[in-house]
Parts: sequence; structure tokens; C-alpha cells
Amino acid sequence: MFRITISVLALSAVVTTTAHLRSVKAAARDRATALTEISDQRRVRDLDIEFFTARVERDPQGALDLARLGALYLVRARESGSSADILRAEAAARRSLANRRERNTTGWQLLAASLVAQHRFNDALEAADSLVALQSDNLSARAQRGEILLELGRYPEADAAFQPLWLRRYEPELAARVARWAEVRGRSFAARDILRSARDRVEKEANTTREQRAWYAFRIADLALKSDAVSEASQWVDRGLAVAPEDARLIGLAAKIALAQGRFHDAVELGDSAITARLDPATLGLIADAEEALGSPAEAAGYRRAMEAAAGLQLGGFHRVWALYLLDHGGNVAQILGAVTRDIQTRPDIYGYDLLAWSYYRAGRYQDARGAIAKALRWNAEDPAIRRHAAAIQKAIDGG
Amino acid sequence: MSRLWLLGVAVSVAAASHPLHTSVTTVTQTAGSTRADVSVRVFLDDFPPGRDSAAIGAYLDRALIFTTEAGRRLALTFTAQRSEGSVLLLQAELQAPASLRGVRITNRLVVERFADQLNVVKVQSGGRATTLLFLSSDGAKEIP
Repeated sequence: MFRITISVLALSAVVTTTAHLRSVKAAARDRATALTEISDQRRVRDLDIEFFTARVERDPQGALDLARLGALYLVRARESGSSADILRAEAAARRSLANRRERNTTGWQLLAASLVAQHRFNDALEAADSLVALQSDNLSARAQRGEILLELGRYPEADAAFQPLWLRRYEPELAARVARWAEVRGRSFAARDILRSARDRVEKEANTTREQRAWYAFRIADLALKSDAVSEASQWVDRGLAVAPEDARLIGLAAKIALAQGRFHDAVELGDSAITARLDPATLGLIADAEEALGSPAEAAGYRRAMEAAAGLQLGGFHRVWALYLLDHGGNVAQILGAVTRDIQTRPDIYGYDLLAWSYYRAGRYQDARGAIAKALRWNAEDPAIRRHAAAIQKAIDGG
Repeated sequence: MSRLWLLGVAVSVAAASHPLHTSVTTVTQTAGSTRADVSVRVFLDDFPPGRDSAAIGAYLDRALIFTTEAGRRLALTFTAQRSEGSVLLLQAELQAPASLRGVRITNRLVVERFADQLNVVKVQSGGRATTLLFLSSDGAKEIP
């Protein structure tokens, strides 16, 4: 009996080990396939850029080829972070529109998108307005305009732009923007639902790239994490990485999840991998926090210093997420408050008021903080981060 | 094709991030070797020497410097380049001691163009991985 038990256990161990090895080999094969496909898709994109560049040279008076060329530059910029490609996209859009203003949907949308990528939201709105004026029945154009209005904090107008699109929210051309509307207006669950559905449809499209598919997984995971749904976020990160194993945004999110779960060594390792693939200053802050938790203050200080430099507060390249981080980690409050106050003049939206409120809070100006946070809560009372700030401000006023 | 560019212009604000001026250098040394592979990833538009091989070699000689703890300069030889879209990938070979621990790196790639340039160096040696960050104001840093 004893021998039979030992044999059964041994056989079971062999079966388990074999199954595990097969699964490891399959995962390695899938990863290699994914990386090869991504490399091929990038090569095709670069060949497309060459192709359209040649066509534009042959026919400089055309509009469509210029718009397509610009769209390809924008896709490439989003993958690589190249600022030069964003400027090329804008230039191509402007040339395309100079050749033909009417019946040039892509040209107008490209112009608006390239300006958004530069955070020139007022200029982007002008372009989006022009397209809607020319094509009032173009739903994609109306969604783009609505999204820019959201960024500018013009919520009643954004609501008016998006409400008629709600019934068609799952269509891939509209989904990302309607989801953004739902997110900003405090309906994160609805936003995730829209993105999940859109992602399912995009998965079936033959001509979408792995990087585009991974983007949906990233957005769903990011939204889930912002809503403290860590397990859901983790699942979507894994799904995304199965599609695009070296996607820096997804690896950065995995680092964020590791930090939230107290896995500090993993957070540092994943964070380092993410910044090596593509630098995001927010990830530098995350690594700094993990290093601090690991008892390495010198390393933490190095990452924070790099983050502060990358945030470029003194160069006009103001970035809210970074500023918020710096406020919580000993950044120069007076300097940040000055930058935030300037920013809110042109972009009085929820996140701007939240940041203003938190800057006042850090400066000890609690009544001013209350006024600012009330403006953020007016349009989005559900965002966990805004609610946390509101609670802290109230506690300070109450003398807590 | 049509879907690709359409989605490109469709996914907008939520995808937007601030473009940054960065480079990433990876230094990899296998155990016991007295050389290390160095790869540098930069944006082609930003890179002062462009794709001119002789100019790249001279530029790396000035901007990417490795020295021993005792201050002796380690030879870095530029070997190859290839571009992937807007990104330029450079390969070089470093004559290194058996361990990179204590080696000092100076990275001043592209800092003459951008005050906010941030250069990342990842070192993989002896089963350890270390990341060093270089701002435009930074001098040499030691591999721990």
C-alpha cells in the first residue's frame, strides 16, 4: 500500500512538472510570436510612411495622402514618444488642409489630435469646431470635440456633445472618447464596460495592431486601478502583456500594482523595465516610493530628482500628475502653486481644481483649498483621489 | 490599412502623454567576460551626429565615458547602427574589467540640445541589474 502511494505521488509529480514545463514553453513561444508580430507591424508602419511620403512628393497638392501620412506619424509618436513625429503630424495636417478644407475629415481630426498631443487644447478645439461646422452629422468629429471640451473643463458643452452618442458608445470609432467622458464625469464602471466591449470588437478587426489592442487593456486596467479594483487591473495588465509583452505603459502599471500590494522589489524591477522601454516620469516617482519603502533613501532621492527634472516645471512643460506627486513628496509648494494657478486659467477642469486644492492644502491655505475642491467635486464626486483630498481638507479645516 | 490610420486619429486625449527628451543605454556583461555590450537608443531627430558613422563614433567618445575606479578610461568602440522608425539604435563594445562594480559612467548624450534631457543607463552584470539616471547637470556616476 505504502509503495503504491509513493508511486502515485511520484507519477503525479512527474505529470505536474511536465504540464508546468509545457505551459512555460507555450508562454515563451507566445511571447516570441507577439514580439515578432509587433516588430513586423512596426516595419509595415514605417514602410507605409515611406510609401505615403513618396506619394506626397509626387502629388504635393493632394489632401488625403498627407492626412494619412500625418496619422501614421501620430501612431508612431504614441508608440515611441517622439515629439518630432507629433510636430510632423501637425505639419502634415496643416498642409493637407491647405490643399483641401472641405471633405477632409482625416485632415481636421489629425490636426486636432496632434494639437491635443501637444496639450494645446484651445487650438485643438478650434480645429474640432471647424470640422463639426463643416460636417455636423460626423459623430466621430463630435466625439473628438466633446473630448477636448472635457479637457478644457467645459462640462455642460461636453455633456451636450456626448449625450446623443451614448447609444452608439460601443462603436470603436467612438468608444474611447465616450469612455473618457464617462470616466471624467465619475462613471468609471461604465467607462470600463465601454472599453471592454470596444476591445472585443477591435480584437476581431484584422487590421489593428497588437499595440492598439494592448492600449485598450491598458486603459481598462488603469481605470480599474484608479477605482481601487486592483485584482481587475492586474488581470487586464496580464491580458495586455500577453498581446504586447514589452509595452512600457502596461509594465509601468504592473509596477504600480506591485507597489500598491507592497511588493517593493517587484515594483522597482518592473518600474526600471518600464522606464528603459519608454520613460514616464510618473514611473520614476513610483520607483522612488518603492526604494523608500525598501529603506534606500539615496536611491529614492535620485529617482525623485530625475522626476522633478523631467516634469519640467520651469520650462513650461507643466504636467499635473507629476506636480501632484511632487506636492506629496516634498516638492517646492510655492513653485507648484504658481504653475497650477497659471494652468487653471486656460484649463479649468476637474483635475486642475483638484490639483489647485491640493496645492493650497500643502501651502496651509485650507479655506482656499475647500473652495477649489468644491469645484472639482461639482462635476465628479466619485473619483477616489478627489474624495480623499476633499476629506483631508475638511479634516484640516475642522482642526483634525 | 484603413483601420490603422483611423484608429490612430481616433484614440486621442486618454493616450496623450508629454513627449520627453530621453535616451536609454543598456550595458550587458556576461559573467567573467572582459568586454561588455553597450546599446544606445536615441531619437534620430534629436541625435546631433545623425547617422554618420564617423561622427557617431566621435560623439560617443565625447558623450558616453566609462572609467575605472582609478580613473582609467575604458575603450568604447562603436560597432553598428540601425534605425527603427524615429528611433536610432547604436551598438558598441566596451573593454571592461571582469566586474563592472565601481566603474564610473558619464552620460552627456544630447544634453547640449535639451536642458531637460534625461539619460537612463541600465547595467546588467554579474547577475545584477542596476539603473542609473543622468540629468543634464550630472557628472560621473558609479556602478554600485
